[in-house]
Amino acid sequence: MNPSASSPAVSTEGDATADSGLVRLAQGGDARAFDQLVTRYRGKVYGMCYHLVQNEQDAWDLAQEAFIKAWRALPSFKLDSTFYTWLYRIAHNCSYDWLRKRRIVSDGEFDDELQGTVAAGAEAVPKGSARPDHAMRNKELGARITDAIAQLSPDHRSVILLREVEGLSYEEIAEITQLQTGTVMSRLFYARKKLQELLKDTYENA
Amino acid sequence: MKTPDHAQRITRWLDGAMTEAEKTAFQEEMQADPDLRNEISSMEELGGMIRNHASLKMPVPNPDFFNSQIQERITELQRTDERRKSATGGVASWFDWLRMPWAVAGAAALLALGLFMTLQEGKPQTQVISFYAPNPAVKASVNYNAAAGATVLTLDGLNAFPDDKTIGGLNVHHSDNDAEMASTTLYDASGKVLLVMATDARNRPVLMGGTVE
Repeated sequence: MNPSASSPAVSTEGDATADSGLVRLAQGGDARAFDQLVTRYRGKVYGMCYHLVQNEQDAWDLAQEAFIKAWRALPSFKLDSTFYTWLYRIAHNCSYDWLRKRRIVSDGEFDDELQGTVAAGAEAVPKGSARPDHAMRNKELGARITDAIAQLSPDHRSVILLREVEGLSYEEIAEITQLQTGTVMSRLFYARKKLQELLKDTYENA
Repeated sequence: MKTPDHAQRITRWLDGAMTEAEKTAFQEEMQADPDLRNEISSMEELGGMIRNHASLKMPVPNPDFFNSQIQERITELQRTDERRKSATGGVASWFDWLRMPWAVAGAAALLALGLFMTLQEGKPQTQVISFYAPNPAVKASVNYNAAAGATVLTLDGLNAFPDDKTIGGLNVHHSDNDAEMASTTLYDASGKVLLVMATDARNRPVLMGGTVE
């Protein structure tokens, strides 16, 4: 997969062309068109906020704030990037502002080397039962991965989700997180290393 | 010790972002370094697990309420913007009418701004400076009604005026033209400035200032 290629996130949520039509209508003040965009992206915007703040109620409020900010900023949106990238950036900023107010993330540039490391082989997630059925096993595995991602710093969490789950390119992630692409790559590396340690027993047993 | 270059090269390999030349060089490096090969293999497995089992998308609690709350806030924002426009641009909003689809109705008031009366030795006289109507289907005429002591502007062909708008009039007593500024200042009977107007390149009225509430 080439991270510079167009991302699969577009095709899973409709398509960019359909988005731009709705965006243009919304820019003209059509609140119903904007409502369709909300329906289309609310799951992912809420999910992004939730993964960052780890709290349902706050994530719900932040997703609301992100959509309202998007509505207010729509007149200045020039469609020079895709709507979802632009929207994710707003949601990301809302969540980061929230985290900064609670001093959960640093104000300055994130320094990967200063972050605490997880000891290799640490049992950060519970081991699964010996003989679960396949669906149960998948569900458990999903829960363990979600738990492991939740243990990452917000800086690492956002890049790993945008890259591995959303399939966004480095450039798109850089636009959303307002980082250099080199920093995005560096954060991806350390996020993967930490997940590797956190999930070591999981995929050794898999 | 992992250098930033090492980290970025592994990341770019995992994400398929390397050029063919870089890939070849990296493959050779992996063949020569079992630890690197194991590290890459482990990370590739991890990536597959994340992609298969993690999702950014989550079910929004009370999704209908989520949407309705946003719509409600948008409506409130729109109302606030409207109120702000009315409060800060009461005079300017007269001219905004010209840009609305139903501007013909607003033109009734604006046309009046193109008129002024002069009083000469107590004898009223109506003088038309200019007419501006966005819709040429509107027929305008002016006459001075001595019984009423007022200039009457008649407009035929207007659309209905929207219910949520109020319409008012200006009692223009006299005016001055400023040739240098290419503007016209309208005054009431006490000499108070009502409006200062000019026209744009397309001869549409442009408000320069005023004291109309």
